[in-house]
Amino acid sequence: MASSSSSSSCSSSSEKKITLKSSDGEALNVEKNVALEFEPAKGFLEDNSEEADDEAIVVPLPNVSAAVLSELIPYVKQRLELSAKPVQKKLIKAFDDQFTRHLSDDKLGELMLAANYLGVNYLLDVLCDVTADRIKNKSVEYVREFLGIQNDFTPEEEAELRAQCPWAFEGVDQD
Amino acid sequence: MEDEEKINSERSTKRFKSKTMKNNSFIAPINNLDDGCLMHVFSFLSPIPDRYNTALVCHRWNYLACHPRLWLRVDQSVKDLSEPGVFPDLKTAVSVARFVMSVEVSFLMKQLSSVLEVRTGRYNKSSHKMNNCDVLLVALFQDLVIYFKVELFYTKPLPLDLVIQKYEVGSSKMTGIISQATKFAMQYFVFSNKICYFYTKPQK
Repeated sequence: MASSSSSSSCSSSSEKKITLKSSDGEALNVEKNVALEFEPAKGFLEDNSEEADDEAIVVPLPNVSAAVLSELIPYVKQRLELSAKPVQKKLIKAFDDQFTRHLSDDKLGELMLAANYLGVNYLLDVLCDVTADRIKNKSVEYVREFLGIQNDFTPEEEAELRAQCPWAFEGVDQD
Repeated sequence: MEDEEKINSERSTKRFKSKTMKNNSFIAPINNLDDGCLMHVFSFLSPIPDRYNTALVCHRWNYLACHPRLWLRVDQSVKDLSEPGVFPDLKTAVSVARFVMSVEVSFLMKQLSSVLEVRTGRYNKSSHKMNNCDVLLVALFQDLVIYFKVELFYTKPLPLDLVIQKYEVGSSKMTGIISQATKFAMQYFVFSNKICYFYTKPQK
């Protein structure tokens, strides 16, 4: 999916720059093929395709901050370059791992929301997988503490739910 | 300027909230995710133990982690076949899910011959209620784990050894496994309906 959109028009469009405007009003210049990976930007560019000069187009992205965008853009750009070549899946995976390894939990959440809004599905999959990995095989208490989630069950409700499936809470990792 | 500093310091304390905050009004960053996103995260978790554990974190997670959409569903009474993840019979469901399993269905049917675990809830003695519960059938074979979830009512107290039970299935077909296991469970259970959910993942 990513490779088909990029490889056909790679040489000509990668020269062209598009301006993205973030939620906090910052303008970021990106290559057109990168911008086309973002669904809202793609739609906007299609609607304004009669505009002769691409440079003049400013695409508003009111749900993404500049900080998040400036992390997303290099990722998408490199990912596009990778998938344009006939590289092994291993390399892409290694690249994804490298990108996600050092992300804080807050950043992970912000990126996930942005990837969801921008329709970058390959990134969304990777991020969701990483988030799931961080709570895999953990106890209920650990997950609540780790993510700072308020327990809104009453003790009775929780006891009842636990009694329904006592085997589900054995053998999880020690915190 | 002062306000800005205040916001910044608030932000930095927020980062360490997970260990310290016990404030009612506090909303965890992960709960800013919309339902679709959060369910996508849960879809990467296996039913035991993770989905049952995440279900107990809070009400919203309970709803999402137990949502039928996280399972492939086999429902004979289903009319609207366009609904995603719902299939009229097990064979169709398996062949659609085949790319997940990367095993041919016919091959699968022959090879399915290993240990099956039945996991159920406990009868609530104090209230003598007819309880609705899931029976989770865990089948292991080759390099795959398949979880079948059947919704049941249970009416009699269960012997403790049924709560986690393993037994040999022999060389029955996949549909046979469900009927054998459920026949076994039928001594203690009355079916609420015949909807069966299943989920597969590669065995590690």
